[in-house]
Amino acid sequence: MASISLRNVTKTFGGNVQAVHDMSLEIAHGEIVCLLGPSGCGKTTTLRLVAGFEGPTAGELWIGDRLVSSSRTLVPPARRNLGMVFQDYAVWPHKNVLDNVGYPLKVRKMSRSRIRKRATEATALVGLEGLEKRYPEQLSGGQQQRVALARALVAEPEALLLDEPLSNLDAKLREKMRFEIMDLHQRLGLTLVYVTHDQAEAMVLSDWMVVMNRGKAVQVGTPWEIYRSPSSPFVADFIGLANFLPAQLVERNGQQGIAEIPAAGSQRVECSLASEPSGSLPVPGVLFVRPEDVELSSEGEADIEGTVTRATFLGARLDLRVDVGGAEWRAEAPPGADIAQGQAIGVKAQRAIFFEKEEQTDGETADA
Amino acid sequence: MNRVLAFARAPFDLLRSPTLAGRLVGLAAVALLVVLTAFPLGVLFHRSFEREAQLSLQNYVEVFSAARNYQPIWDTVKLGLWTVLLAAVLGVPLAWVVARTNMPRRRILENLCLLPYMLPPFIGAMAWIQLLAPRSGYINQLWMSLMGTRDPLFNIYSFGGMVMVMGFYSFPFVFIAVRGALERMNPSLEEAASICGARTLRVARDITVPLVIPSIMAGMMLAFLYTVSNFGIPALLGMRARIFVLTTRIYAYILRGDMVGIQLATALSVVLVGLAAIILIVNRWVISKQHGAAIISGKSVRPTRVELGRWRYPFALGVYAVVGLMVLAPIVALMLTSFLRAWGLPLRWANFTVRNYEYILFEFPLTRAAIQNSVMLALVAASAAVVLGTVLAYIVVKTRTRGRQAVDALVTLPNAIPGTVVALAMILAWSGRFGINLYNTFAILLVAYLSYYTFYAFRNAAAALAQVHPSLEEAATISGAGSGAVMRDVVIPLIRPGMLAGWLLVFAPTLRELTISILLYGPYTPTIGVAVFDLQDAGYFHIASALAAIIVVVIVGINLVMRKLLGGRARAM
Amino acid sequence: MRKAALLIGILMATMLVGPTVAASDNLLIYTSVPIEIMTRLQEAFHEAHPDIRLDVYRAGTGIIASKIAAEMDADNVLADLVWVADYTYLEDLKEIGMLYRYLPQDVDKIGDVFVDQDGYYGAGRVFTMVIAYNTNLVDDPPSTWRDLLDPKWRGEIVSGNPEYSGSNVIAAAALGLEYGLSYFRGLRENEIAIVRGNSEAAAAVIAGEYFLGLTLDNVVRDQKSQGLPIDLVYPEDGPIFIPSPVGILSTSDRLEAAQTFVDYIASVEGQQALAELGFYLPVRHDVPGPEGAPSLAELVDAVMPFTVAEIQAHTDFFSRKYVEILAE
Repeated sequence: MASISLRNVTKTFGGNVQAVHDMSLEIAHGEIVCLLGPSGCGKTTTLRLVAGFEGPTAGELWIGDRLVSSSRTLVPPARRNLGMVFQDYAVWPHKNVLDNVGYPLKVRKMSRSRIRKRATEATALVGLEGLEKRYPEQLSGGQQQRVALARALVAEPEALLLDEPLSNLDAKLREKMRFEIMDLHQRLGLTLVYVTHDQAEAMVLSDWMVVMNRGKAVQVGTPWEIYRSPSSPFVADFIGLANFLPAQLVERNGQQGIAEIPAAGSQRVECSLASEPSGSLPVPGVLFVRPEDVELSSEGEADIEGTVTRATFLGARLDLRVDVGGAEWRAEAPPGADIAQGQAIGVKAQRAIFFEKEEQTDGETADA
Repeated sequence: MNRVLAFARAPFDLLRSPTLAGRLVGLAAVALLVVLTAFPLGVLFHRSFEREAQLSLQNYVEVFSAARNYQPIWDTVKLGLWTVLLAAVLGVPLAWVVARTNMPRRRILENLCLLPYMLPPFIGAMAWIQLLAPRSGYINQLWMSLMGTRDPLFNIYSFGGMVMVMGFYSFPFVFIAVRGALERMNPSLEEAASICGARTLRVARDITVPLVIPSIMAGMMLAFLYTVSNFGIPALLGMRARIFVLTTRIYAYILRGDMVGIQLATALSVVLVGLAAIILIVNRWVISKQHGAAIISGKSVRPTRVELGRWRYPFALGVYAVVGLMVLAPIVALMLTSFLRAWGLPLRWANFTVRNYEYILFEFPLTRAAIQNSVMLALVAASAAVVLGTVLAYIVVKTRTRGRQAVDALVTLPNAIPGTVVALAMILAWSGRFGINLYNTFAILLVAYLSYYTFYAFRNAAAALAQVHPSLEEAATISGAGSGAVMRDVVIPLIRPGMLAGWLLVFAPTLRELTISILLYGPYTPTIGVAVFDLQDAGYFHIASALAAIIVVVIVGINLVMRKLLGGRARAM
Repeated sequence: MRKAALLIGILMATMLVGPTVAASDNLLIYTSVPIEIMTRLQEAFHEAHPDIRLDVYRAGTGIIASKIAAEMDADNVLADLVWVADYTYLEDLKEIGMLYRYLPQDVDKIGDVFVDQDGYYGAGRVFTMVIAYNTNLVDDPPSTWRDLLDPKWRGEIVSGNPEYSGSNVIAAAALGLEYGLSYFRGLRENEIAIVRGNSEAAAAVIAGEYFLGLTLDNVVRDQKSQGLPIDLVYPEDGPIFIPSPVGILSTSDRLEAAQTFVDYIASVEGQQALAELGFYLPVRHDVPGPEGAPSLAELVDAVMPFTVAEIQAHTDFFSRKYVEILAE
């Protein structure tokens, strides 16, 4: 068991493509950390840096108190004592389940009987007892994934790395495996680094998570922090649903302020500021509001009203689209609410965050 | 130039390989490749600019001032193009039949289509001469007696005859490539088109054919290289038609029997190497322009088959008639002739004898030595080529070593140039001028075979390696396996079928190699190919046929055994 | 991986060590004498001289010449003896000092025309270029070389190629000297077919592919004796006389054994063996020729009367023209 520490790690491919830029992370022993981001954001490269398949161009990587990667040294993956589950399972087609699972022990030159015993245990741990003699082609995708997991765990690695392990499984199975991984983590107390592009998965699993974009960690925090207080429109947009309403900051009081939404009859909304405003008031920008933070009221009770253009029943809630002065707001109501399409409704933005205009494209200032 | 520089960096990159063993093996393989191919071809290139120990363009001036050298260049290209066309016309439909229809006995058809690759082309030419020599060929004789004429049905000694025989022996290249592509193609691609409302033929035209085109092109490219570098067929068929191609022209220069002749041959060879290099570059470019290739994945899928319905048996009959004539008729002719007292005698009971076999097996001393030599050579060459080819393929496919494309080109190049040229390069490089004298030895044949044939082992290993997803190796690495263990436990077992196929693809042609051997064999190192050629050359068609028939039986036998082995392994995976 | 390294290592070692292993003390001859005849002659020689081992490398004169050229270039000539049909090649070797001066012991038993004036080589066998015909297809064979230009033989004649076959080099020179290039053009007009060597030409005649062929008398006699449908005509304007000399290379370090072989070939038993095995005319007057063959004296009178020097001076030109006009 060990902590993993990335210190200003940069990885450049082919001279100019920066896959990972100046990344620093401290993952404590026993934590589950998710690397989350759109494809090509560098999350897989980061994981491969940890695994040792890639060496950093600059910076250092420590596992426990051991320096494993820097621009000068590179401990090969084989000597890092890590477990890894690959996106495509990477279960060897020419070995049966037990041989696949037992392989890490075999290369550690364990006795045949011990390999057998521990591989059988690991196989049972992932719920594959009885399938030990099967070949991968005789297994379903989910079963192959379990083989991969058992193989990654069998040698009691210092940490477990998972690269989008569930992305090839169907929704039901994904859900189930997610909880099994959490369960395993709790039972074994492993340090776990998990790469995914699925925000729901990251939210469920993580102790804390890293949102990445274009090779940079744009925000680091607990799922709750990141959901509630995204540091940039990118994060806000990537995690959960969001309204981005063009607005201008008209008053300011420290980290708090008041913004006006021109399209909504210049509705004034209390908001927190994502960053220090660069110019004098009024400052143009956007106001970020989660759908669940749009307060709804009956017709006539609010200053600003819109028209419900669509109401969709989603089981746990009613998803609404409301036309407010030509802009579409998304909002939520309890599933039983009596709201119909075409109906007028009062809207009010709560718990909003104000982002200045320049920040919209990227999260330069929001670096972790 | 960049390529060359990049290649020079390869050793440094290989030195950075994570493990010592990896470093040594990689470096040794590249060094061996340089010794086998780059050095001899370099010497050849250099010597082509030399006359009486002076640097000179004289060889090129002489070669290019002779009009008799232009025609062969043109004829070489023309022969290549027509042959490739025929190879595609034969190979593509047959591949489709095997991969995509429910025609009965497809396995047999498949084996029949692979057979010509296994047979030596010059033995094929011999056999076709026996069938279609203007007046004495079996088919022509039948025709002449039926029609009461002395005009043959078809004269094999003609450009058309050369194209025909070349086509019959090179179509397996197209067949193999296209069949593989059709079998690996994801059926959902075609199903998607059917859903869109396209009929079967429409699907074939709009989806299947475009997706298979890269494979057709690849197969045709191999067939083209095979054709332009072949010596046996134009040597046996072209001379009476007064048609010369580059390989026979080079041979003729060598036959002048003096150093100037060898130097002129060298200059002409360099032209041929250039031609081959251009083809390879064009090939690479064409492939890089194709988008479909990636869609055909390495996953094994069950292709949908066209139901032939009640036409199944008539269709099969037609296909077998064509393929049977193409593949089996020459073998039958060979067998017939091998039992004749002399070539050309009427097929009467009195003229049949087993004397030829007795002579070949028990009296002709050259056969025993030749068989011994060729079997040894083929065994060693095939094994060494597989080891070397696999290591090189690993470097090219699985590492980011700079210069790996140059490694690729260097493995491929010798196979793209005539064996005659390779043999010439070996003579120039290894006859003592540079301190090592292999001339007239077993070793020079081995070195030449390796240089020429490692390509097949390399290609097969590379294709197999390309299908091994990197994560399979990484999974082993992260499990704690060193690079040796990754190789032994994961990579080698996964590519073993490819390696075995490569072994066979080197073993079969080296067992009866002629083009290279005829220039390199020494008094102590006769080979089977040379023995057959000598007998044919001396006019003993019947005796040559007996030896050829033995070779055919042996090669087909080994092939069957290997396929059994391969099949077993492949299923175990 | 380690195994791979080992294999590659062994391979490289083999290549380096290989050559030293292959060296041999045996006497080595490069010859164009057909392999099955040579093989039996080899056996006969081993019987007569059990202390000497003879190795044989058989190929056409062209290949032999280029092999020796390459060996000379590498300064490592392997062959001890050369025995080909194209005697001008031995003249070439003599000129560049590659021949060791030696005549067989029995030289006085050998006719003058078979021995080099400078004493470097003597003929080991003799044959003549003649007109062969298929006895099933031809009743009235031509009687002269000129007759081959008769249109009735159009497309029915076959000949060997000087590029491959040494005897065709001599034949081309003789026919060229006698009848000029117009004769070659006439043959081309008459659609003569060109194959590699004389044996192939004879086989094509036997097979009925062609009615007539330019080939060697001994080949025809051999085939005829096996009951095959072929016979020969000695043309009235003279068959072409081709003595085939054996020479010892000056680079040889097995001179004594080489001389023994030359002596053996010229000896009574050697000549008898050749006459029996290869249907060659003996070079000695005291050895009877094969059945049905003319005597040496008759033949020497009948053949085209060119000297070695004349032929030597014109072979390059006429054999090149023969190839250019007829084979391309």
